[in-house]
Amino acid sequence: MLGKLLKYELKASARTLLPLYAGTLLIALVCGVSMAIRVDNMNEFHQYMANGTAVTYGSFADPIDGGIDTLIGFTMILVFAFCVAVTVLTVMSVVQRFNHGIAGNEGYLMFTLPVKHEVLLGSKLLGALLWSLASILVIFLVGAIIGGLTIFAEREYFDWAYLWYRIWELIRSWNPIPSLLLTGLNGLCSLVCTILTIYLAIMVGQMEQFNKYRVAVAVVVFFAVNWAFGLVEGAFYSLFGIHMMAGMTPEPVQYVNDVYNNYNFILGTDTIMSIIFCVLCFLGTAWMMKKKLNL
Amino acid sequence: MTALVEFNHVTKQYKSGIKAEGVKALDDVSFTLKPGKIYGLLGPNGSGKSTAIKMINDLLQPTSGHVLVNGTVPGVESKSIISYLPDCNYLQDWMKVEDAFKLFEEFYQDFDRNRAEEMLRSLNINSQARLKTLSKGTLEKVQLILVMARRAKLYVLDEPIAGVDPAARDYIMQTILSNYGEESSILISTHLITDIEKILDEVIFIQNGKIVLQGAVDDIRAEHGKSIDGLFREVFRC
Repeated sequence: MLGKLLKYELKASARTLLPLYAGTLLIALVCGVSMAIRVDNMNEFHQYMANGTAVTYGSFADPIDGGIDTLIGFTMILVFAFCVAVTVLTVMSVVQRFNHGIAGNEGYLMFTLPVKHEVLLGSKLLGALLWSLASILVIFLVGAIIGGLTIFAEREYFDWAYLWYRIWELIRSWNPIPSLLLTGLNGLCSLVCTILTIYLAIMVGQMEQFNKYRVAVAVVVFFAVNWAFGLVEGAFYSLFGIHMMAGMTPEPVQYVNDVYNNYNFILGTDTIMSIIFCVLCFLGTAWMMKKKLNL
Repeated sequence: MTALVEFNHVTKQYKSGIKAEGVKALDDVSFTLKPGKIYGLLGPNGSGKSTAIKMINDLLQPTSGHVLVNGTVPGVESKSIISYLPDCNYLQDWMKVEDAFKLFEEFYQDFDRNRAEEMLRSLNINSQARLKTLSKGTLEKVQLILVMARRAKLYVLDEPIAGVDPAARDYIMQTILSNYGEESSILISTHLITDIEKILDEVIFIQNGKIVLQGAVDDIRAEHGKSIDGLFREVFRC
């Protein structure tokens, strides 16, 4: 049942988000290609300048180069606007899919399907999580496309061997992989926690007591829950003396190791607390769906 | 015979505001629905009809008392035997009629696809039409088709004919009559009593959250010397 519900959940948002992703990546491609051409021209100009055949870029550039500058500026603005649109529409989609699908008219269908409330909530959560991750990936891809094409244009001047050497050195001496994995897991837990806090806030807002102020109550509850979680986390860290400078020694070599260990420890603790908050929000929302639904 | 639905001293109080006392939508209501009958839940606006229907469908919880469906508290099990038509559009507007059929087919084992397609053809509705392009009346017909195409034990229809033209009402009445089995029951809530009176076996009159009259249609007609519609107008006169 979870798979079936998830399928309809993904379909509902796909019509809005997929064309937006395609548009964003296309604009990023145009921007990246323009940047690459511009970099290529600049490199050519520098060669001419070195040869003494050109003095200023203006005297070197043909009218097409001027056009490219305009195109880069225009596409950069568009890329930024599209990335903002992807972020805003993803958040709106997460909120609307739950608000309409659970607390709105679609709830009459969803709540009369022969599935458990937890499964229903799980499908909403998974759908929201997958679309959020897809949006994050698209924004990363935008950076990768523009950065990658620009670096590609600079390939002759780029010391790839040195770059790989430095990366390898970093991995060998410091091993950042556990930290990176932990950072990823922490980000994922924080994302799930945010989505579940939104759901909990919507469920509190739709209660019969707050019929006239549904949105206002939901917004207040969202910030209040986040504030409460922050307070609990802060109190926990204070109580057990957990902070980045804990147990630091003044020796430089040990200092780096201490920072690294403290970072991992704090991130690990934060991840465990996020998981606890996620479980609380999930159970609280599921309970409200069962006992406090107000369609 | 086991009751399909049992309301036992059910009260539902809606609160408005945190401290407010609230309004009683249902006040100590008790009734049972038995298999094989068509029930009319009749009452003016705000009398508590939809509240009772929502409780049968596990969409609302009683403040006190209890509701049983087929002997159990409403939940996953009861939802698989109840076919519910709410008084609003509950389908996602991006869907085509075909998508809605697929959804019902995937979630309800008792959904009869052939029966649904037959009703769709009779009502001249295109299965490829997007729901958001359909008129209010046609959308209501699609929802009614979805609900009546199930081989459910209990059909709960909240205002099933309110939005459709009079010409389609007869067809819908016929559809309701011909699509429910001997072991099934139907609970219809409506204001349009004249149109449904002829198909009802029993009625429940509800006013201000209390049941004011219930019984077999023939007995009530004989006792009061009036049609159900006439009696409704008399009982609920403004």
